[in-house]
Amino acid sequence: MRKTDYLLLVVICLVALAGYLFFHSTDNKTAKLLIIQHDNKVIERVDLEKVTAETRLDVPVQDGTLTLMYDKKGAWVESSPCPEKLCIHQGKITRAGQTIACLPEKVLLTLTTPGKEAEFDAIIR
Amino acid sequence: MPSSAKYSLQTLTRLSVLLAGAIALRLIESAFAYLLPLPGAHLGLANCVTIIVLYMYTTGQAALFLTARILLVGLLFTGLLTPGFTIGLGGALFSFIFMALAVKHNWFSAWGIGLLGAFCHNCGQIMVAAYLMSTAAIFSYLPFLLLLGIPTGLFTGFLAKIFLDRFAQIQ
Repeated sequence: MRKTDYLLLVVICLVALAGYLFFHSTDNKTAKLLIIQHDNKVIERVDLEKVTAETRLDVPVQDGTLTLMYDKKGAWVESSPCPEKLCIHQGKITRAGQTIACLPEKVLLTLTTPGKEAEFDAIIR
Repeated sequence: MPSSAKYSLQTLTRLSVLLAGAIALRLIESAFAYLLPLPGAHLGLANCVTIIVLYMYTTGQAALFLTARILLVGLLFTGLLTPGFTIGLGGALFSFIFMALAVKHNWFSAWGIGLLGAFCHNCGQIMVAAYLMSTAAIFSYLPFLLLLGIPTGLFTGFLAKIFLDRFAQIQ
């Protein structure tokens, strides 16, 4: 390896670290808000603090029904008609700032905090 | 289409063999993709062949090679113009541009080219995905993809280096 290779390695590490700090700096303990979008439209907003038991939500999508679940701690995709099932493999998201995206079915789950919601609205247009 | 006169029979045959290799590698790695911790992540073994082609042939020939690979992989596995295909296309184009520049100006060794390719592929992918979903939230994956891209990028660069060294010996 050459000197410039190591330099590139350091730069990539720094970019990754900066990105991580930027997206995951949200305080873990504050109340969490689950935002569910389909086809770029917000279809459901859930305050996870108020959720007592595991709740199921069926989203009608292009190829059938996408079933997602959420509880007090987070949300996950239970089943999806998409071919690759990447959204299911992503498992449960529990921290504000995390997302699960199912690209083929255009479904997006985002965990955010009530304070950051306005910022979120600005992003999704 | 470039005229066939620009390509000697040897160049054309070798590029075709490399192309077949790249497609086979792509198939093998998508079969093992579930072993990796992040959705959508893969080793980038096909990129290893792109690096080899960039070192051995001109940028134009490498561009033709990559176009053929993307179209054939799209036709054979992912399907043309599906979201997965478009995202992969974004990554492939982005990484090709920067790798071609870096090889031409000799900025890095093959190791660095592998790293750069993985890095740009991830950035390109995420940018296209963010555009398709029209949300910036997807960028929160990027740090993890970038970290994962370091070992996989070094690995593909390393493989390309072995191939190029051995090939230089037989020549």
